Amino acid sequence: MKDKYDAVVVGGGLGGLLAGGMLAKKGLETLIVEKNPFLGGRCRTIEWGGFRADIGPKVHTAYFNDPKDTWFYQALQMLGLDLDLHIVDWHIVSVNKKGEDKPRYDPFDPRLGSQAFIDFFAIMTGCNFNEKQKAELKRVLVEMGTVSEETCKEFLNTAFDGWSKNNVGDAVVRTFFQGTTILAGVDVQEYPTGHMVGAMGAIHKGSFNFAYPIGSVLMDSLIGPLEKACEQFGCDIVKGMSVRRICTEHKQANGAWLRDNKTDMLYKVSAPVVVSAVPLYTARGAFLEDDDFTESELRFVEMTVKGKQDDYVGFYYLKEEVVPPNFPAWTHIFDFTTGGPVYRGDLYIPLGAHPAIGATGPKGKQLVLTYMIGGPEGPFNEDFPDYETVRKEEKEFEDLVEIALPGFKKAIEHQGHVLSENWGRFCYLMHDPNDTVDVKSKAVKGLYFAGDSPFVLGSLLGMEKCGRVAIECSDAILRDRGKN
Amino acid sequence: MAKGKAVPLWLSVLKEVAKDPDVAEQLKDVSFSLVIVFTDQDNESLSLVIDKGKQTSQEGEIPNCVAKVSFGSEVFEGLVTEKLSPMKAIQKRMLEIDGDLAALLNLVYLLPAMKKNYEKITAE
Repeated sequence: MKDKYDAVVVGGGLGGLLAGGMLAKKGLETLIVEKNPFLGGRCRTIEWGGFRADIGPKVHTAYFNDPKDTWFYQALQMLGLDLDLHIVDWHIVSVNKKGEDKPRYDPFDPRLGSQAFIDFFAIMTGCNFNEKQKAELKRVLVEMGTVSEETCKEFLNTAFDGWSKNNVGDAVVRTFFQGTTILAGVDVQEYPTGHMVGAMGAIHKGSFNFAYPIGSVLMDSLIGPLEKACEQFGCDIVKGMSVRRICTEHKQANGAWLRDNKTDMLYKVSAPVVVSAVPLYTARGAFLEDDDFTESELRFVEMTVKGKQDDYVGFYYLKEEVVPPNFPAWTHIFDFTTGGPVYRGDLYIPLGAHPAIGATGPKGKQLVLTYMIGGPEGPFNEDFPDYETVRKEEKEFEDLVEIALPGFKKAIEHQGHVLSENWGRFCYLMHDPNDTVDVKSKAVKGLYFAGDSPFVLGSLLGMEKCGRVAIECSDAILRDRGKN
Repeated sequence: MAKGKAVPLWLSVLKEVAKDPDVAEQLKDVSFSLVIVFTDQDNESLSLVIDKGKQTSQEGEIPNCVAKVSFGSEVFEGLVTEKLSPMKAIQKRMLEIDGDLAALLNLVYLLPAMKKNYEKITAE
């Protein structure tokens, strides 16, 4: 590590690595600082019980027909990386349906466009939309599909509840649309129309898809190669160091104070460009003060805090193979105990530990991951749920998984869980579209953001957001530095 | 809601809704029958039958209804006044449905007219 750079990137997650790599490729002397001893942020692989499994945003979420059309893929291409992305097949498993003694599995294929919705409604309700309702559903979807991203952004402070009452003519179709917000963990009265219209429009076009990189776990297929690419372009990467404070003079960034997390030693690094590539609510208070934001930006940061909720990921190490080889990789569990469909969470036969993607684990054992959504409709509505609440929900969820996967509970050898901050759910909350944090700070010259930003609107979460923000952020920096 | 009040209140609301020609027109292709049970009212119930737009309702449970929905009277009030969305009520397990879910969904066609009449009756 030198004491002078052209740019310091705070955070060695996906966004920081992509942005840092792009700056280095264009000739800027760049330093990426990561507080953990590993890179990747939440996009990471863990080793557990002999398995290597991906946690966090292992699935590439975006609106696309071909994964190669995404910002994320483009960002990787810019760094000379070619990732093999495959579209994930979704399934819905219905359990405890009256009159059915076995769980029922149904595929959900968003590539079918509006037909996917019609099929989904039939699975959920046991009845079909009539012709009039189908026509209204299609009409609304077509209308949503024509709305531009810019227009969607203008509707970020309008609740979908109100919009749907004015724009969806049929009450049952409206109820169905409103009900889909539950899958995002947000009440329809708080769900921004802009986001809903963008998402539904994407479904109409058959481009609401998820993909995952095949070949290996993320550390091998993505983060490792990305680190190498950054280094090949001359980028310095330090791990185990935290940025304590960015340095400014007359509202111009000129570097950062770094602390070695092992020795507590402090280092000053000079740079006219500082990129915050961590979630805004983490950056604020850690190395950015309120003075580093405009009032409008600060309102956006406050909104991201409101959207942060714990989600639950359960890890189950099975001592025998209970998961059939053809079992769907990703299923949403709906419980019909009370007669109606209650969304309880997801069941992964982990994409990150599935032999089909080249991951490894002990022979004869299996790893199953479960996911329970937090947020207003989920069990963990408080920032720090007490352990008893977590265990109670976990036990209930295990009972549902047992129905979906008979023999599951008996096969559990040991288990663990992660309560993960869902840093992206804020994009599902209403806010004033004027209160945004752009890639370029409005308060401090030379300060840029490659972490959360309103760009998530058109990109869903995770990898796609990182790709898009990294491209926009590095473009802005290079433009400002006269390098474009 | 005080015990014994829910069924008479909602029957009077439904009686007014039955007179609304717009609702009849909207429901002209719809037929369903539903028993509504108020769990906080000693399980007092009412039955609602829509037959191609023609609506009848009565106290108690009539035989052969395609669905029975049970909830607290405040949940039903929330649905009618649009303070609570039907899907949220299902998701939060605020109600229990026995039978055809389509019958409950069809009930949403009546909700705007029920809201109007509920507000009118409770204001009097």
